[in-house]
Order: sequence, then structure tokens, then C-alpha cells
Amino acid sequence: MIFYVWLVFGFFGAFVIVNTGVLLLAALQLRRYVTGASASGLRRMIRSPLTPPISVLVPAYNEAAGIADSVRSLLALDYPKLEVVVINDGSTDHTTDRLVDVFDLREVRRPTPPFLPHRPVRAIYEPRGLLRLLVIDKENGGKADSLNAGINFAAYPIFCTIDADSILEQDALAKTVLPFVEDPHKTVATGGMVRVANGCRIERGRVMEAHLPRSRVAMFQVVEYVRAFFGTRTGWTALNALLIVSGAFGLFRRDIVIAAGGYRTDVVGEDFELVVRLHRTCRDAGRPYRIVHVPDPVCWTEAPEGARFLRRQRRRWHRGCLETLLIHRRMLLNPRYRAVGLLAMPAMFVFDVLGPLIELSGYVVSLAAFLFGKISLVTFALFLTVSVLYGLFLTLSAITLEDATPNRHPAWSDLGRMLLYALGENLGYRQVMHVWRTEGFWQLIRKAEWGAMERKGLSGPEPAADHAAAGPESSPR
Amino acid sequence: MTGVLVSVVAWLAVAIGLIVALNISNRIVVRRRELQERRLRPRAELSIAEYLAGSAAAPDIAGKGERAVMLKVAIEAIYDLRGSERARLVELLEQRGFVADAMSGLRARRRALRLRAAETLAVIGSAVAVPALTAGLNDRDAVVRTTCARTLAEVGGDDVTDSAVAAAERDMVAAPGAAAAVVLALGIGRPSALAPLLRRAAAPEVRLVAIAVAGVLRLSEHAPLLQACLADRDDLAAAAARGLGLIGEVRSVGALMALASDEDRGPLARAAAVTALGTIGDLSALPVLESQLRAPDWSLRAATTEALSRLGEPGAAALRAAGSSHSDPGVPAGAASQP
Repeated sequence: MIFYVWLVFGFFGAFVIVNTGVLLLAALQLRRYVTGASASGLRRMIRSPLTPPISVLVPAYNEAAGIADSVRSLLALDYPKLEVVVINDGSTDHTTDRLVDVFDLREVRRPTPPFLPHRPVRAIYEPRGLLRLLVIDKENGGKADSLNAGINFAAYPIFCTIDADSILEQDALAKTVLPFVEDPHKTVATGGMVRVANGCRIERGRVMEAHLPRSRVAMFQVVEYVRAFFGTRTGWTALNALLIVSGAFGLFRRDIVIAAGGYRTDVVGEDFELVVRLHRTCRDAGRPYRIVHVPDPVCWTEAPEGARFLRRQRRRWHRGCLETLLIHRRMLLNPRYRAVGLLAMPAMFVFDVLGPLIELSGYVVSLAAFLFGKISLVTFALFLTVSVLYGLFLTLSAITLEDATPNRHPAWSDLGRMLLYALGENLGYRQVMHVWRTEGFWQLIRKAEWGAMERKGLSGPEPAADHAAAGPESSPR
Repeated sequence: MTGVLVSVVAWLAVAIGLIVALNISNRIVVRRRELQERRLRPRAELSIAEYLAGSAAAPDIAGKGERAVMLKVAIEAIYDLRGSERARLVELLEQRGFVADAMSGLRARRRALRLRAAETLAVIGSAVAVPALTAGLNDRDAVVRTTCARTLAEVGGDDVTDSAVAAAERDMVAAPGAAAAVVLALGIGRPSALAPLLRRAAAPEVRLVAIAVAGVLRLSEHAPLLQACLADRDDLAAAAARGLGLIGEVRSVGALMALASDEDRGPLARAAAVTALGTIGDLSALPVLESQLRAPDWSLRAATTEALSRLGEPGAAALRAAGSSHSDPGVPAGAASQP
């Protein structure tokens, strides 16, 4: 028992060392980004004829209510050359009909490119006018399958993936493509900040006023997202060991993704799996590359407010995480994959996959050790305090990093609420998440079915059922 | 054990307190700056607008905060100004010492300051800064160097062209995006300067960018050099073919047809040649394009279908004929979309 308690102590020590190191790297990376970013540079890039065109891929399943607003807002983004490719994944509502009506589409016949496999295409639609929009109506095959179809039909060398009900800031695309402009040969993928849209005032597919959510569950997720994007992803970017580019908002080089085989349709976390595979493919080919998290552009997404859906989401993420690590287990501790194999993947395996189990069992064993008189009440209480305070330290540091960017939460009351929820997150929320994530293990064995998240909708008072999502939301790991 | 844990708790509590204090003090500073800008901006905007309209003398600027806001407003405005208005604003910035400030900023120790100074000089585009920018070409940071080179390519005379070209060549690996911007600036400002970058003596990375720039800027004077690039490795040949297509260089049709039908070349270059032939629209390419409808590579067939669809009725007829004689799903679909 005492041995196990010491094991938990050791785990916690390693956790502190790795996470503090990543946090420091995040601070350095953010400083580099903030000093290098300039509004004039962005404007110059947007006007440059060398700026790469982008295909924005929007997989949609039963999104009839909000799809027109989403497409309209994507077509109006501040970016010189983009096309929007909507992939209707066999919706049972009128998603395609809605697009055909709103954008005056006509059916065209096109050969299906053979680069990536996907479910059969039923029809392809294009506008009669000059809009750069393509709608692919295909048989249902899931989000990954839809993205593969979208990659096949994409006309441009870089594609952006975005959830149909997510909203991009006007300049988000331009900011996220910057690493591709700065180093077009090395940059393989980039991801931007994803933020929780619950509570914001949204009109016609645009965030008019950013507010923190009123829902407590969503507030906890705001804090989680800030820590994950600023404290973790930004830090791993400094080591070129970023493992996750959100499915909700990421940019990829089309040729490299095709060469890597596209999205896998038989895994839960297809976005995570693809990024790990990109690392593996590039390293195996000896190709210089980089995968970058840009800690500023914003994609707004709706977070689940109900415990039932949050639980389902977290179980799914955990299952996806474990599944991908198992698929790419040969990369673990393999020096060939540098920081990815030696640091990022082991850290994810130990702290994200095993972490919930170890922490929960640690609580139980420590309590038992205390009850059996193996450790004192003071030691037990102090250890709990240290674990809570360190979690708080990480979250507050991430909030401080966020404050260095233009996209911070501006109001003093917002800061107060964030600090409050940062404390609450470490005093109960995190532990509940650990329980749900541990259930993901069981799901992996059972290969349970996906569930659609009940969404209230971002674009206004639309029926909730019409906003059910087909795929996983982005993970804030 | 307990003592260690107590110390850790104490250290963590101190660290958390410091972070909260840092956060609050940062916010106070940022908030004060925002309020100051909100207060000063309308006056700065008005005085610049009146000055540009010629109805007022150069505005008086006092204090560090006011100068910072004035510079910010001027930089935002300068992007949308052309001709005499732009020149007048640049003159104002020179007179009020903003250009001199940025020039001295180029000598700062901190990279961030040098980078900001180089970017400011790039936006203002004042010829007064040429000596400082020339000195900036020797900066230890590649992005600062290339930003200076870009500005020199935009505002410097013929005497600095060679330095800008050399900077682009030197930093194409260390800062490819910034170096590409130098090549683009050269292409816009002095197109003839691209010639050495298009020749075989230049590094392939530089040539690739120069070829792309010559194409997107439709620099027809470089068409012979682009045509020569068709014989190079596939990525260069593909970029050159795209460029010739954009230029609409009819004299290159023969070379493009040869590339399109050369089975020893990769599909990337051949597809680009086919696309260029479609863009140029010369009907003499019809037989070569028809033959490519049977190419084993899908991309090449798709590019051919697209190219033929641009050739009007003769191309459509070729697609219809191919559609009735082939079982390839790509060709009939392309043919079917024809009117």
C-alpha cells in the first residue's frame, strides 16, 4: 500500500516536471508569436498573390437549420482565395435542399477523384453564379469519411476542416495560414484556438458579442479549453511535438494528407490519429516538417451543457486517445520520432490515458493508507492540497498566457469568474472528468456506438434536433 | 515528509498569488493603454485627415502616448492611400521623426524591437530609410534582414537591387516566406531583377519562387526563361508551365505540348502543362490533349478534361467523342458537364 502511495507521489512529481516544462515552453512560444505578429504583416499577406488558396471542408449531418448561415459566414471570411466544400454525410433532414435553395445550386456531373476512399457520392452541386461553393451529397459514412470525400474534391493545396456549427472569426483563416506562408515547404498542419461559444450573442453565423457562458458545465469547459490551448498545445508546438489539431478548426497540406492515407474511418479520434500519423509519415520519410498551433485565431464552438452529453464526449475522447496510442505504439519511446516519440506520446499515455486511473486510485489508496494508519491525516490532507494547488497553478498560468493575446476575456468580471471556476475545476470537476474518462477504457473494449451531441444551436432559436452533430467535437486535451 | 509537503504548499500558494498579481497588473496596464488610445485616437484621426485634406498644418504631437497612437493611425491609413496623399503622409512621418525612430529601432538589441522597426519602415516605405535598411541587410536575424530587403526592393534605387536579390537568395532556406516576399517585391518594382533568379545558376528554392512570381504577375518578358525551365525538374517545370499559362504565352505552346506528352516526366509537370494549354486556348494543342485523355494517371486525365472544356466547341466535341468511346469514369463525367 505504501509502495502504491509512493508510486502516486512519483507520478505526481513527473506530472509536475513535464507540465511545468511545457508551460514554460508555451510562454516562450507565445512571446515569440506575439512579438512576431503584426497587423500590417497580416494585411500584406492577405493582399499577396503568393498567399495559398484554401479549401474549407464542412462535413454536415442533419444541419439544415444552421448550414446556410455557416456557409454564408465562411464565404465572407477575410481571405483572398477560398472555396467552401460542404459534404452532406447522408443527412436525414433537408441539409442539401436548404443549400440548393439558398445558394441557387445546380447539379453537375464530375468524376470522383480516386485519391482517398469514401462512401459513394450521390450528387454534386455548384452555384450558378460565381460563389466558390461545392456541395457533395454522399452516403452516410461518418465525419472522417466525409472529410476524405472533401479532400478528394478540394481544388486547393491547403484544406481547412471546420465543424458545420462552428464559427470562425473574420481573420482566423488568415492568421492560421501564416505558418504555411512563412515556411511553405515544412509546414504540414496548423491549428487555431477553439473557444466555447455558449453565452455569446450570435447572429447569422457571426459572433457579435463574446460573453462567458452562464452554464456552470460550459464555464468549466472554458477554463479547460484555455489551459489546453494556451498551456499545453502552445508548449508542445515549441518542440514540434503537437499531437492534436482540432477537428473543429485545423489546416492541412492536402498532398501530404493524401500521401499519409487521409482520415481513418475506423477510429474514434480521427483528428488526433491523423496528426500522429502525419508525424510518423514525415519522420519515416525523413522529410523536414512542422505542425504548429497558432495561439490566437479563434473558432467558436458549442460546448455541451448537460452532464449526459459531456460524459459521452469525454468517454469518446478518452477512447479515441487510447485507440490512437495503441495504433501508433511503435512510436512510443522511439528516438526516431524525436520529441513526439520520446516526450509527447509518453506524456499523453502516462498523464492523459493512465492519469485518470492513477489519480482516482491514488485517492482511494491514500484514503485507505490513512484509515489503516500508514500515513497521517496531515500528510493525506497536504497531498490533496498540493494536487489541487498545482492544478490551479497550471490553469491560472494558462489564463495569464491567454491575457497576452488580443483574444482574452476583457471584462474584470470575466477574470473573476475564470479564477473562481479554475478553483472549482480542481475541486471536483476534474475528478468527475477522470471517472468518465476511465469509462472510456471500457468503451474501447466494448466498441460502443457514437452518440450525437444535443446542441442548443449557435445561430438562433432553431429546433435542437436539427443541430445534432455527426462527429466528435474538438478535444481540449 | 510532512515538512516537504508544507513547503510545497507554501511555494505553490506564493506562486499562485504571484500569478494572480501578474495577471491583474497586466490587465491594468493593458486597460490603461486601451483607455489612452480611445481618448487620443479621434484627435489623431481627425488631425491626419485634415492634414491630408490640405486644410491644416502638420499636427502637433506631444508625449509618448500620443506619438504611439499617431503612428498606429498613420500606419493603418497608409495602407489605403495612394499617390500624393500617401506621399504627404510619409512626409509627415519623416518630419515628425517617426522614420528616424524606426531607423534607430533597427539597431536595437532586442529582436522584437528590430523586427517592429523593420516592419514599420516597410509599411511607411520612406526612401530616407534606405541607408538604415541597407545596414539592416546584415542583421543577425533572417526575418529582419528579409524585411529590410523587401522594403529596399520597394523603395530603393537600382543600386540596392543586387543587395535585395542577394538577401533573397541567402535567406530562402532560413526564412522562406519572408524571402519570397522579397522576390515578389522585386517582381512588382523591378521585374528585370528577376532574370538572374530564373536562371539555372540560382538555387532551386529561389528559382521556384521566382518562377511563381513571374507567373502570377504575368511578366511576359520572362516567358523565354520560363520556357527554359520546362526542361528542369518536375516542380520547377510545373510552376513554369502554370506561369506560361497565366501569361498566355502562345509561343510556348509547342514546348508545353512536348512536356504534356513526355511520358518520362511525372504527372505533376505534365498536368500543369495540360492546364496551361487549356488556359492559353490554342487549338493546335487539341490532338495532344485528346491523347492525354487516355493517360494512366487520374490527375492528368482530369486536367485534360478541364483543359479541353476551355477550348470551346472543338474541345467539347473531343470530350463527347471520348465519352462515347471510353469506359473511364472521369472522361464521360467531364464530357457530360459540357453544354
